Amino acid sequence: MNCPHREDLITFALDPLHEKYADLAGHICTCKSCQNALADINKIILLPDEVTEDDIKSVKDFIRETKNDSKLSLWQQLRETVDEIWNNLSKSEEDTPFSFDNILPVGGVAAFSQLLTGVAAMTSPMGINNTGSEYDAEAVNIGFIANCDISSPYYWKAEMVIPPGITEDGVLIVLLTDNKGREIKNGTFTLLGMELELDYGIAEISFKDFRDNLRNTTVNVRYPDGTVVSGDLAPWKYCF
Amino acid sequence: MKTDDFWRIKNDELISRFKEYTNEAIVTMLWNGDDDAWEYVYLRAVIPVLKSPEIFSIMMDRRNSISSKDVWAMVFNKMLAEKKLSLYDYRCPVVYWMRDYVFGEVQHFCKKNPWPVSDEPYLHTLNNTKAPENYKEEFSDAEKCFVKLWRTNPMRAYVHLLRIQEKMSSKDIKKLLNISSDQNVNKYFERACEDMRMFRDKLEKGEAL
Repeated sequence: MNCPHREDLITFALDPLHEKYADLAGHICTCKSCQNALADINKIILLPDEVTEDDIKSVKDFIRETKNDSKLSLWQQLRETVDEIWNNLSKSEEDTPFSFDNILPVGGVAAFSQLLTGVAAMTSPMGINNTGSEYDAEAVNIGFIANCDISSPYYWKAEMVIPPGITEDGVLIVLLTDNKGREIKNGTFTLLGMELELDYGIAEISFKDFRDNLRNTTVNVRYPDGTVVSGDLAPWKYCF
Repeated sequence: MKTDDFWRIKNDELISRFKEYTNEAIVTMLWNGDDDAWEYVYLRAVIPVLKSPEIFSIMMDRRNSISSKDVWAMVFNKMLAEKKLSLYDYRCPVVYWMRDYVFGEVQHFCKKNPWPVSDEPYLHTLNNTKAPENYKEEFSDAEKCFVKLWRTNPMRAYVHLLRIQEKMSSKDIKKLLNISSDQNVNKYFERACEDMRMFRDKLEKGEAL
């Protein structure tokens, strides 16, 4: 038997007394590295769960402060990435300029799936870097999420890509979806303080405007019923 | 209501609420930076690790000091900014996976100092540059007997494993397996040894287990 996955070892250690674990236990009995792993896991299982008033009291404020610091550093990273792309624009312009005309059907708005396929097609496999905001010289994925519970009917998520070969006049397309992944058809998306009209889940912003307004971190969605839900740069892994 | 009671009730409420959530739901909340989910990680993964006697004594020996909030901030950034949370494979409860991760990170932080400490074998310190020897022994008969014992009585077998291989004390085994007393742990162990001897004798006589 091969050494088990560490998570399987955790599951085993939490509730070990079953016949189905006979082979696994036999393996542990003869495998030094699994014995060491099990020793560590048993230590963490035996840790006391008691917390004191001091442990709990200020934790909420502290969590908010840390999250804000982390978000500030994300915005800073995004600014640096966009500046880097901007500074390399002249070099990119010598190559074939990127245009969304290539991926959007003539005279209409692409379906979400078409659009995402199109964006993905414009980037190499290395280009989809699945990060909140990261420049890898190919494409940059950026996400924003609503500051509300995911179960809320007003929850929103915005995704955009700075494609490779973007030009100064290039237009960035932002895709807005709700908590079920459906496009938010109407409303206003405020990105970096600029109000963008939503048209079947799509908002557009020029790369120049995006770059020039990155100091303004105001992001929100105004729904047709007047509800405004603010959001922020998403720190999590982004999957297209 | 005393303030102490107030905080305790709030804490108990949070923990019992999260016990009902699936791992998938908790992970989604963590990716979204949900305050309650991250408070749950703080209370159930960070605080217990820092209160463990092992980490405490390493820190005392090394004269290291790291606050629970520093550890929480480190975990928050590693999980989200460095995307370590994507390494979680949903095969065990996420809170124990997180606790295991925090335990490893804090140990790593403490061991950046190369000098060995009293509770830690020299082998595990950075001063020992020699790689551990990779040896393999044949335990097939012992393994066969142990697997048979496990199929017959998993409790006895696990107590045997924890005593012999893990060198765990009766007190810890009692706590881990919810056994009523240390004496009962010892009884399980003695009977496990008798069973193992019986299985070994059978094997030596060429009988099937």
